[in-house]
Amino acid sequence: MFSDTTTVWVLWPEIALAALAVWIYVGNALFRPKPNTQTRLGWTTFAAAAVAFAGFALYWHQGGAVWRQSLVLEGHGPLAIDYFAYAMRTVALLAGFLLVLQASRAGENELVSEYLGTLLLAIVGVMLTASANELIFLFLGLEMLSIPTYVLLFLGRRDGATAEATIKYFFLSVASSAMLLYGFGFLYGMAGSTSLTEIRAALETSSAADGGLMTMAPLALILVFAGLGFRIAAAPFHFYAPDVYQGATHANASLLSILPKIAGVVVFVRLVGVTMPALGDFAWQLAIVLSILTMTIGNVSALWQTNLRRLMAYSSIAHSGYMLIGLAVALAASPAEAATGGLSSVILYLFVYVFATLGAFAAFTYLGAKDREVNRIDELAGVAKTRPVAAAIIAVCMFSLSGIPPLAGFWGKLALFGNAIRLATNTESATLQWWFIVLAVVGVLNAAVAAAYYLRIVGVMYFRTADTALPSQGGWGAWSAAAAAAAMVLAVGVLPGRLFDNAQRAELAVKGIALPEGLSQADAPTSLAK
Amino acid sequence: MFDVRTLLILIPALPLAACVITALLGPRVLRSQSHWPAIVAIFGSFVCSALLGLEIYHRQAEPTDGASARDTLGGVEVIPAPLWTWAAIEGAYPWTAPSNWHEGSSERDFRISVVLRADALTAMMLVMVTFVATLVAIYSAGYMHGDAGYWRFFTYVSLFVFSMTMLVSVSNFLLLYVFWEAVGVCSYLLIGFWYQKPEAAAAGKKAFLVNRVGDFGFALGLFLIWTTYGTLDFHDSLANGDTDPVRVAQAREELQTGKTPADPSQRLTPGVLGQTLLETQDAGGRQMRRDWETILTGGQGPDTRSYVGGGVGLAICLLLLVGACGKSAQFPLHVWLPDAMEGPTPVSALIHAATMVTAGVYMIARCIPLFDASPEAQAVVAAIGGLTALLAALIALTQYDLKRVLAYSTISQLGYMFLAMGTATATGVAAGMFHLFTHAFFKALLFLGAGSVMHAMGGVIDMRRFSGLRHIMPTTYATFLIGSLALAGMAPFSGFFSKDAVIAAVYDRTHDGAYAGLYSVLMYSALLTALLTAFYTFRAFFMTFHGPQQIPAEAGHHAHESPASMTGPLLTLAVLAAIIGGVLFVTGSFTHFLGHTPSLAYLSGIAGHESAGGHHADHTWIAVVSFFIALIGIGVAAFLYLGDQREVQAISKELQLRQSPRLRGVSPYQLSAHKFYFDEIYDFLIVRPMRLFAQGTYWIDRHLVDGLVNLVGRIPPALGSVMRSLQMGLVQFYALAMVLGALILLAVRLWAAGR
Amino acid sequence: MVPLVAQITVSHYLVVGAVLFVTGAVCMATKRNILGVLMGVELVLNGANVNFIAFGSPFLREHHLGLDGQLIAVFVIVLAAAEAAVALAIALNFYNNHTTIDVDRAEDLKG
Repeated sequence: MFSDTTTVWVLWPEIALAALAVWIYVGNALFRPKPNTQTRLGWTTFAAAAVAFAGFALYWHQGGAVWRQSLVLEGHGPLAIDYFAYAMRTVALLAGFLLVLQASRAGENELVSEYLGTLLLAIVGVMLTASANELIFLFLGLEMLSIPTYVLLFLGRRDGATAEATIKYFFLSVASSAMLLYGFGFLYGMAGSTSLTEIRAALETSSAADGGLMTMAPLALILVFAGLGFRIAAAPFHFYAPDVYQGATHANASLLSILPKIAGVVVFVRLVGVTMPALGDFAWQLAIVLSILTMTIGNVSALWQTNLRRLMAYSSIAHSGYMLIGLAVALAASPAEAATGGLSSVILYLFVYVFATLGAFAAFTYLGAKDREVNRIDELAGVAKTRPVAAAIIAVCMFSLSGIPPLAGFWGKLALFGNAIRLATNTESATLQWWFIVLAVVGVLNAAVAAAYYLRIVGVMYFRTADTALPSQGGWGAWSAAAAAAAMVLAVGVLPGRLFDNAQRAELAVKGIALPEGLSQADAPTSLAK
Repeated sequence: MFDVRTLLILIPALPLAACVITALLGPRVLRSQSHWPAIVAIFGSFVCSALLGLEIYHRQAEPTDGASARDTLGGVEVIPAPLWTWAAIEGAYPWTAPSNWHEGSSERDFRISVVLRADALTAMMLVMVTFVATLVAIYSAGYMHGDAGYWRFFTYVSLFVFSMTMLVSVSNFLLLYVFWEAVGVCSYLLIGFWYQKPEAAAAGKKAFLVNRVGDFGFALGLFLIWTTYGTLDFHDSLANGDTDPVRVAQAREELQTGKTPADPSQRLTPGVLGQTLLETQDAGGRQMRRDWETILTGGQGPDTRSYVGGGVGLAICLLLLVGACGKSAQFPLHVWLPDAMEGPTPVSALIHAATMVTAGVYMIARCIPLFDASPEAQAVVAAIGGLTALLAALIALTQYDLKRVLAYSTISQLGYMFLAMGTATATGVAAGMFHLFTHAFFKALLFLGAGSVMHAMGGVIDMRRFSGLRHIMPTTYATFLIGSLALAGMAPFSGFFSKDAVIAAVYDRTHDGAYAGLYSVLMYSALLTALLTAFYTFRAFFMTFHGPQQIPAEAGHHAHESPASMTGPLLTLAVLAAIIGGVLFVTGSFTHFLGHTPSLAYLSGIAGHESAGGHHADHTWIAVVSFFIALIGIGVAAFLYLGDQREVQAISKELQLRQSPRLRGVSPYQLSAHKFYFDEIYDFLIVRPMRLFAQGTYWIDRHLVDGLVNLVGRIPPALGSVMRSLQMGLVQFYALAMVLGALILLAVRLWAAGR
Repeated sequence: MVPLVAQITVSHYLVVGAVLFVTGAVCMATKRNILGVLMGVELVLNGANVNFIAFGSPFLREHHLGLDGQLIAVFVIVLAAAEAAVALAIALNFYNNHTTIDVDRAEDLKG
């Protein structure tokens, strides 16, 4: 299995990116001119180019083949080479590119190569997670993301708050990893294989049979939820998020709210949404309970916050809650139904969330300076006058996060709530109807509550006058990252069709369903593969 | 000769580019040079329009040769330039065809393709709009010189030209609506251009709100068209949105031979304004199409296709008419236009006289096949047009604000155009469009002349405060005179020919057919209006330019003729206002050119059929009568306003009915001077009740709803403060919470399983 | 086979693993010292490892499952080492800022 060179062949964008990351470490150590802004610019450009290279490599090399579903590994290899994996790797690279740009002036000059190299490795971790179809691979991918994240947090700034944030994140992350691993142990024990495909088959064939190891399936599910819930910051595994975000720099907070979220959602989709629907009612009820808990806690706690990053942390928690709605839909829908839209709405929402959050954080980074970050919401007062473009970017992102119609966030929420309601109206089961109607109602109420604090930020920027001017020394990189993210949010908001199509395609791919006629031919990218 | 599609796209694209450039570079880079992008782009747009018009003219002359034969339908030229598909929702509407249509019911896709189309009507409007806009842009460079919002002005003007050119070239009702709103927005922005002035801001708001009433009607009309016809496209396209003339023609041929293509995406979707099957009909078929009741009950075989008449058809037409009334300031929605004169004068000339306000007329001309199916709607259009013309002329008699006189004359002339449209005959529509065309020139000329006066008088526009300006401003005087003569309908200036054509077209409807009596009344009212027009035009002219020289204090010492950038456009427009009507009338080329518009060709087909056996009335007497009417009007004005003012005062005192103080408010003079109290009536009937209602609901909202909402609104923060207390900052607690959370979930699971 | 060995089944190992896991979790939640917490982490991870090896063991399962269980355990051990290295760096950093390595002193960020 592992001697199959196809694995290497498929993963070569990741391998190249990791190699380039290592070169950043080594190269800087070899040359090490006096670290200054020039060096930093050079390495930032190099890292951005590396991510871009990996992106193009992925696109040209595998895009077409994945699109046509013509790239298949023999047997149940450790990799899932489907459109879902491809799309998520692309999202990781896109977000990673903007994260690199965003960090162009954050942190110390001396540490720039360490920071950038580690950031690239974290991106590699997300990409590996997206491709994994196997427990070991999956776990290693997640750790490949986690360990660089600890280092990045630690590199961000050197003060008490950062040290505290790092230590909190580290311990809780390790604890969650351990729970996840423990859950993986049970999955492995039940199925006798680490391949997700075989685990799925095993769960489906014997879930009805009572007794034996299968009774451990719910335990495994809970442990998986615990491990992944930490990654996406879902209650009750969310406690770290506000403290850690607050202690981190804006650049790191945005990284924390994006990369683990992508990885967590990816694994949720593949491991829970696709592999474990056979677990029956318990799975979707668990998802719904956690979803309601998460979004409510996130939104109501955010109302009280004065610290910008803390508020964004609660926002991040709340959005995880929304995404769990889609997961619940996917789990509750009868397996016979091909595309329930549950997973595709999660994917859609993830995309929308990632860019709106990234845009906001990048704009905050831009408005601050290395030694003077924008911490409190009040500091944003009057930004609309002094930095109108940055204010507009933040406003666009906030409106999108709160789901106001012409922007991307609206389509995300529409897809999630719409699918929940559709499931409720299409089903016969009264229990299912009740649960999902409640879920949708709570979701909508939460969206309304959320608007309060997002709009507060916009209000502060536009309707209050500044006491002191913000330094706005985050650099052109942060600015362009913010602008690009906001442009993406706007573009998706105006023309959501392409994203809907892609999300649907990804859902079909991850479920292993053949594409329907209409989708298979449309707009294939021109790339090629053997 | 030229690639017509490129031209067609360039025409709106150039002003749009100018708009973007001016908006981006105007405040920092261009500053006082901000007029250049607009002037260059709009002039370029005009050149393209002219080339387009010529090309269409050439194709009309030699319609059939090879490939272009497919573009033409019996000499009717339609050139599509597809851009992109804006929206496509498949199977959006389970559509039921009207009973007399050959095709059955089907699921209709909601498909909005952005397709520009050029036909004669569009080309004519494009030429007119871009030409006037070019001159106005040049004029504005002088007029607006030194204004703080110089770049803003040219940004808006470019945006307006873009929207207006799009409005006349799109081929879909929804896009028509979009640009209908876009020109409305530009109008709003430009009326309130000097937003520091409260009157300007209020006028902008008024224009916007009154137009909303019209647009509401238009929108309803749109919905009704969609449910009735199952499409919003003017013209035929394939079901997959393809507008390629060759493939559409193939599909059309197949449809006419009764075949249905196997591939549903290749099926023909007939446009609302059809033209598909019309040209294949024989003369008898055409006649029956007019008689819609017969068709609706009879069912004329596979090829019969008609516009929907009856109640639905009437409703569509009236709703469209409401929209047209709003935009073209027709009774009862005319109240916004005089106030719109608060905007800069070039804007009044361009938007509120020559171009935007004619959009309503354009729309009715475009939709004339729909009106053709509904004689009642025609009568309503004609009645509204005639009534508005008379009403506005009466009001104009007593106004002292030069621009307002011109504004009311615009309303009145638009009334003439509506009257012409209301005849719904080929000659009538052509006459209306002819009047629109000539009116654009002489009314723009008059407004620009008024602007020149205003410029020289330091912003004063009240005619009582200046007089005898002919020596100070000789160029303005001469050009204004030509404009006045044209407006008064004096031969051989252009207004004479077009107004005469309108009255003649109305006269044709007085003999027989539906509502002949109404049309007779309207014709005499139109003649009376012509008299009034001549009078008030020359009243304004004499008050301004003749009499003792008098200059208001605001003008200071520099009351002088305007700069060349302003007199140049005046002279150009004066030449055209003098001759264009005559040239086009004598050669007959305008009517002929316009007659090739698909929807109008359909009408002229009917007319041709009728006139074969019918009568061809002699209209010479109308020309003679209206010539003398204009002469009388001018004479009376000269008698009253040249020289001694005693007569005027005597008459106005007489009209005040002084003997009865109670009746003073409704004396003819007061009625006219107070614009028939329309503003007051609307204020009493609509504005105040609405304000009361709003205050009531505000109270309810403030005290009842808000209280409830605030109560509910306290819940999330309260919950949040509880949640916050859990966030105690201790990492061990967080770890414990995670583990305990998992354990609780497990316990619940075990409990649920054991239950 | 010696009867004593034969009676040991996967379940026994699972219990051992669970005990290790819970011990580790308790250790993480109660120890103040960072190094103590780190030890708890190791315990938790090894609890999971015991499960993997038990499930993958050719002696405890009726059919042979290959080396996946052992392999994953090896990976986890390597990971744990890597994490310990990072943890020590983090602890050092914490010490530089707080002059202590008691994690309950990390309570400035809350609310």
